Amino acid sequence: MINREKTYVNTSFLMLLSIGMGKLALSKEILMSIDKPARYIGHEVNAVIKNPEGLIRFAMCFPDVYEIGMSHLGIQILYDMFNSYEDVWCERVYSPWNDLYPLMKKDHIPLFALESQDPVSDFDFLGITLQYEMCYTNILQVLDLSGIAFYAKDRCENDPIVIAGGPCTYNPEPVAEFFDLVYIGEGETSYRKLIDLYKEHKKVGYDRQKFIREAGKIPGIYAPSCYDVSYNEDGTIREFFPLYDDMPAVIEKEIVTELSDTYYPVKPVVPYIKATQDRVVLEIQRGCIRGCRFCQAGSVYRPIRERDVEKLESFARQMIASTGHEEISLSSLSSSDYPDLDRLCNFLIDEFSDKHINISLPSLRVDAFSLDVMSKVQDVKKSVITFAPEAGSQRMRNVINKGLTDEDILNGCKQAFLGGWTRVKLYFMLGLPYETVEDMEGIAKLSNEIAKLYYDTIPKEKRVGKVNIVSSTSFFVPKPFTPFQWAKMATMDEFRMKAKVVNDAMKRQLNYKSIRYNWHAADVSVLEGVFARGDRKLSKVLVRAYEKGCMFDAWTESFRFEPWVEAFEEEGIDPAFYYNRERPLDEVLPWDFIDIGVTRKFLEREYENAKQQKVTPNCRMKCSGCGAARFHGGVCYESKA
Amino acid sequence: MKVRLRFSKTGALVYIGHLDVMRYFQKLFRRAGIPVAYSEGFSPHQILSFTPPLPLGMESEGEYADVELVEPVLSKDALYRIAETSVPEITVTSFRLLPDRCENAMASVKAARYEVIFPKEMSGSDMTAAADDFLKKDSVVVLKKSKKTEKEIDIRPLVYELKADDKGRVISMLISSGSVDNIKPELVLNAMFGDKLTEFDTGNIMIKRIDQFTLADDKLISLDEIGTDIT
Ligand code: SF4
Repeated sequence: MINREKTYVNTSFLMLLSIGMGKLALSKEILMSIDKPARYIGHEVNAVIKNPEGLIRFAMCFPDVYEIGMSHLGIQILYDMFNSYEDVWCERVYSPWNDLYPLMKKDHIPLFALESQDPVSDFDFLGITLQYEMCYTNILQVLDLSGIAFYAKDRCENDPIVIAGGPCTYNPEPVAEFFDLVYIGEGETSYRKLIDLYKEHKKVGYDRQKFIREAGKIPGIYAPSCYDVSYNEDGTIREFFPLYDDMPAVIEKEIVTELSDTYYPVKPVVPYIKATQDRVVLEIQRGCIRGCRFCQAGSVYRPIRERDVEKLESFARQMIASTGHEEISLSSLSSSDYPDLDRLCNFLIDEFSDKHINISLPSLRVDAFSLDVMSKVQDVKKSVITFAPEAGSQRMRNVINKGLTDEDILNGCKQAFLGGWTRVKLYFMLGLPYETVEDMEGIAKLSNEIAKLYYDTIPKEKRVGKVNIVSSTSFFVPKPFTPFQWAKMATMDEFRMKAKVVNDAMKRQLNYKSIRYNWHAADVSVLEGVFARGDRKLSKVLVRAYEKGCMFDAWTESFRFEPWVEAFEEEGIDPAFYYNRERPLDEVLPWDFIDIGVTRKFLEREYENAKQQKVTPNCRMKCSGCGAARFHGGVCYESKA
Repeated sequence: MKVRLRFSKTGALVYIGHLDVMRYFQKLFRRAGIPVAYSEGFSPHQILSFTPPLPLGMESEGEYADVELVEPVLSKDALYRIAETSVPEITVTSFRLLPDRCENAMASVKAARYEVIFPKEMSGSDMTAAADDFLKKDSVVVLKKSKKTEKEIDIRPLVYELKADDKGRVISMLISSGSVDNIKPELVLNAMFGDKLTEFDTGNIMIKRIDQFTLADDKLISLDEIGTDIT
């Protein structure tokens, strides 16, 4: 007979039962009627369950669907950090997908956090990460479903404190009025101070506005309601100023000086459904030495800081053991610049390849070393060689300071072809400053040259079918804190024309049949351009767009442009003012009150260098005095070769 | 060598689909350090076989997975290691070595036992009478619908046991299951009660799979009884 006494039960189960958990916020009827109900039930392996009594409750929201949000390393780091605090319980919140949203609206079901399934409105904090501009209407969806007023000024005393974080907070102004607080910079450093301050205030007669104002004095934390903006007649900013003398006029970004000594999520939550990143991710370094002039990440995360390779090796082992994932991957802006890359790759291969764990190595420069590593960890026939030349001509690559030459690309391809690869992916941008028709046509020419190189390199009898080249262009969106923050962005019609120029040029190429060309949608890019460099006047456009049903705008299948056009019209706001206008160097920019370390002077100089097509060396070759050295860490303190 | 695991799937996890349960087990085996065998080739995968998919929303106490091992582990060690890294809603209750020549979990299922729990009482005698009536009949022809086809089948010979408790809340049935003559418990309920069923909020009738059975010497025995503990 079956012996049932031997059943072992995980002890966290008892914990769940003891605090009355195991309940679900959504009814069976609803869960059975929507797509992927597993998005909403929590209960995953490594999800943190605590007894909520007496704890500060922090709801950490990634305002997109579960599979996207669960794949984000930054959130995993903060989840781990908060839950390492004994007095805090941090839970996850994601945007309910299009199918669930109307059901929640109709039945007035409040948005809930996954772990406890408790309503977000019961929490002390609601943290929302802003990873891309096209999630801004999703912020409103989250607030709406949580029963929290859109505008911070309309909130009740006991509403959660709504705080933003993530890369878009380097210009928080278009969404600033939706947030009580905005955390600018890396999350590992100031949250403890914020929680302590909150507890202090809770002890002695909590007053929401008083707390917000005090919190705004913590390094890196910005309290939008304590600042005001005046405008010139032409709509540009006259002045941005604190309302009170004791508030800082400038907010300095927060940064982890010693990356090796900080939090790392060695027990990340393991989703049931397949997340976009269904694997262990090792963040090997933060920041970038390269200084590409279009790249915001390369600027705001300066200076580059590495994680100690030994620590990474230990993280890798622990994380594979704690998740059971079958893939491990590296994360950084440019992995080839990691000093211990050899050692780390060899470690991963030695440690994991015979344990049926795949190793994926994105953002590696294509050279002899990386090809050798890749041939060891993946099926050459199936894998793709990727380059991001960003521009089609050397001239243009000098403008954007992309230190990748045609020669590098062709050499890399040649070695790859000889090694058996037949698939190449190329990423470019269209609409870069000072772009000419020749630069655009260069994209087609380079694609063709690579195809030709394949046929020249590999003799007929050794070929397996055609070489397969996929070239994609995205439209360039100028971002704050880059040398192009003053630049004029192209219009939708211009973008379409540019894509046509490339497409026509492609058709003229000899090896056209081996090349596929894709380009992005121009309308989303334009909106992104508006919000990236927007100001506070845009918040009402966002509210209107949301009321017209705009949500999940980053998803092609749910993006609709017309309601956006209407929203701008109805609010009397001309989008071209924000994206299609060259800003004079003396204009007050909405994000000028933020200090990222990199100085405005450096950015101006780089804008001039771009115009002159002058290349600026990377941080390891020579320091260019960008200003980030004042953080006393990273590459600025290495001895230069 | 092949082992068979019996597991339950309850609570919130009834909303996890079959493919995700398979993924869950693959990761679970790696976390628990179970020495699972992999297939050959450039993208090797764990050699696993599950009993037929449990419908979304249904609880079960009797699901099975067969897995090929490269070396033996003691049943009690394996169960302990698995429990340590499991979510409570999927609890593995046995880990048994299968005989050498044994049909895999998927193919061996011939019948399944279900428990149907009604949200409120249906008069005890009514329910028992409906069960008795059903069993007395020689044939019960119903329309079986699948995604594409509709056909008439006689389900009477496919119902092996049907019992109602006298409190009028629970019906237990043992019915044909698996790749041939698979029928759903709902089909039997419909045949028993017809329109009367709609008096109950059908969404709230809870059906639970209790166990799955295979044929051995013309007798139905639980899939759990095939293997032996590794001690
Ligand atoms: S200060 Fe110099 S080394 Fe440091 S980030 Fe700036 S340019 Fe690079």
